[in-house]
Amino acid sequence: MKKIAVLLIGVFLLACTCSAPTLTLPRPTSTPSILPDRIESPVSTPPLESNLTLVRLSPRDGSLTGQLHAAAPQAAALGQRMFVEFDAEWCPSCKVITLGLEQQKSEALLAAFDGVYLIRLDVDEWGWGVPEAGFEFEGIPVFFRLDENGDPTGDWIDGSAWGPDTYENIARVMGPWLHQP
Amino acid sequence: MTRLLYPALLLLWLAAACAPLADLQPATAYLLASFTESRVTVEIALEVNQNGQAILAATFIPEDGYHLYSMDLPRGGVEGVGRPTRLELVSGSRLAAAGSLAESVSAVPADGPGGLMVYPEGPVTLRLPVLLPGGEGWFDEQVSVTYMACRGSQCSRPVVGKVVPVRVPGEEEIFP
Repeated sequence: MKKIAVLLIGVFLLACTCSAPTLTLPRPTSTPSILPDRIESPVSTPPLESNLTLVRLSPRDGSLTGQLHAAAPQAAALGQRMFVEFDAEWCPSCKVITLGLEQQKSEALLAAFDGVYLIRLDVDEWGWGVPEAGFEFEGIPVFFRLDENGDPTGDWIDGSAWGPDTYENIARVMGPWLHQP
Repeated sequence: MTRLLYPALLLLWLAAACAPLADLQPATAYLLASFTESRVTVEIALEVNQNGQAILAATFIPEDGYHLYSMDLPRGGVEGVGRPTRLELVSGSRLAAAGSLAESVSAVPADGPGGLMVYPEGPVTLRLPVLLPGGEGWFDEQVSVTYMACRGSQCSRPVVGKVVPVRVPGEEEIFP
């Protein structure tokens, strides 16, 4: 019996050393800086070397419909097709698009947006959709096709179309969509 | 006798080795609040584990295909991008934190140039050990939750610092 008792004590001591993992995980000591550039939010950006125009509109400058109608002749003069994109600074996919287009980090993305007059609208300024102008959506980034007058055609595409946020994925999906007849 | 001894010892060892796991499982749980917003259902509960520790738990259940961001992201995102998943006590609360926030699953880097830390698709529970208000009865309290859900490359509106009313038991209500 003594042997059994000693054995039992030994087993319990061994078991006590085998503690289960706790829920507390080690925290990183610093925040990694994985996004190299800040999102610039200019009211308007000059045309890039490629045949792409990026414009950012503000609700302070009037109704969206009015601003889009005003932009239509400018796009026509440049021979570019008009699109609207809703984005936000906190949106990871929007950041990738910004890096690729505004900061020209991706030739593939610039090529996909060639011939485009892109009007970018920040949801933190404009709200989550502008129904009176014909823009309703549930997620960003989202792109709307406009007609020659600057009105939405009803055709749209959002970030769920291209999977992981690589320049190549975005360009592969957006290029054909932007250039469809 | 000897034939029975070793199986018995094995069972004893397994029982002892698994005992710490019981600390992680709530002995009692009270659902305090639940809501759905921006593609995520959030359930806030008070758990009391086997050691008698009260734990405030928020389970974030995103819709199919959506993921949430690590609780370790800065409040304002990494250089403004992304929003953390958080469960926090509000200022003036009679609940007091008795430990640090813990996550039920580990975050992994997202695909693409951003590479923010995200939780794999599916529910995530954040747990915060708390000290309950003293006394008997139940008390009106508030907690705060923050999250942002994205599916692939499409993101829903972030929920930041949403204050959720809850009713929590006093310490003597739970531990008379």
